[in-house]
Amino acid sequence: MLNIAAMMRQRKLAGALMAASLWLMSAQAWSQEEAGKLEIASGSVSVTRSNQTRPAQAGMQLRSGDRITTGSNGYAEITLLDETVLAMGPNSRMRISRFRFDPVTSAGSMLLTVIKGALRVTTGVIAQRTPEAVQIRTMLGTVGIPGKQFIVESRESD
Amino acid sequence: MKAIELTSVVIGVALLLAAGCTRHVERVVLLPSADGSPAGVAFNARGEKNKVALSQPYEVLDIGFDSVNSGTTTEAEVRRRYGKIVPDLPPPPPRPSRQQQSKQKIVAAQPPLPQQYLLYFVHGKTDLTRESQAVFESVKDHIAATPTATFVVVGHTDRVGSQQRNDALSLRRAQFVRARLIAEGMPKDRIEAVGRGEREPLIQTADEVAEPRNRRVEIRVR
Repeated sequence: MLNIAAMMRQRKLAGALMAASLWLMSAQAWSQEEAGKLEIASGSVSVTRSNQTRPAQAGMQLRSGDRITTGSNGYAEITLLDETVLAMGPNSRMRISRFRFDPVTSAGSMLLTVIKGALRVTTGVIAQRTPEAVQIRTMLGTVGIPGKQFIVESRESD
Repeated sequence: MKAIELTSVVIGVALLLAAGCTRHVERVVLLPSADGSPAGVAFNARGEKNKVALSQPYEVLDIGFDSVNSGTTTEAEVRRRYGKIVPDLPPPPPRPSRQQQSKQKIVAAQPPLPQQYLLYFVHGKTDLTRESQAVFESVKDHIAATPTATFVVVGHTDRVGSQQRNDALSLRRAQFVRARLIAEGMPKDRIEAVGRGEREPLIQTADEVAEPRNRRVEIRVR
């Protein structure tokens, strides 16, 4: 009985491991996507990719999934492939949670997460084409770019 | 050239120490757009249906766990608070009367757009026109002078022929320019080629109109 229970446990564990590795693989494939470039890195700037944090230099390519952190004397400027410009102040951390951009059709989407500190965003081609595809998430909510068309209704009620 | 509409926004997330306990607060500031065009952002608090919009430069949202307050700030305050991440901002959009507007020409600050070069092609081919040969030489100088910049070669066509054919032709043009740059000793890994077909004509024309100014390759410096 004990043996069977142990085997069951092992199988469950193997199943869970497999699921976890599949999930990791898909996350990996997703995060491989090139997102942009670190244009300026002054003071302490580091990039975390696949759970490894390394100091970053200007010119480094960034991918979807990368987390960028600046220290107390740090400053970073990033250009994404759609020409969005991001500037990070000191003691800041943000993640390129999702970035997709097709340079042929200009179709794409991005989700940035501001974890702490300050980030300036100057929107690029994606926001110009499809404003709703640009989202910047914080702990307390989401900043979006409103579309260019809207309806305002004003009427007397019956 | 198409005007690019830029929205600039500062998002600040901070932990404040208030009377011994930490409090998480956030702030969103809308900056003036680089070309003075109308811009805006909206904040959607977690769990809320309604969004709060910011549409004027220096409008501010202060966000706490249970409150969203809107207000305004000034350029000086934004600079003091955020320092280096604030770029050289254009003056706030002027709203003078029509008379004033005609009197003074308002020059907006030049946004820091990537530099670019234009090369033109002979109809239906990947051969450069004679004038463009000279431009090609200056591109080479530029690449040699800026060892960290990446160059994106973007091919375009006019509207003669099918979209599919033009996608292929535009990519061939871009690849041709890229290959020539590489052949002349420019580093491979710093030059990318993309084709955009007839989607972005420099000169708007009806379909099937031959327009030499649309048969071009742009080289953008990133």
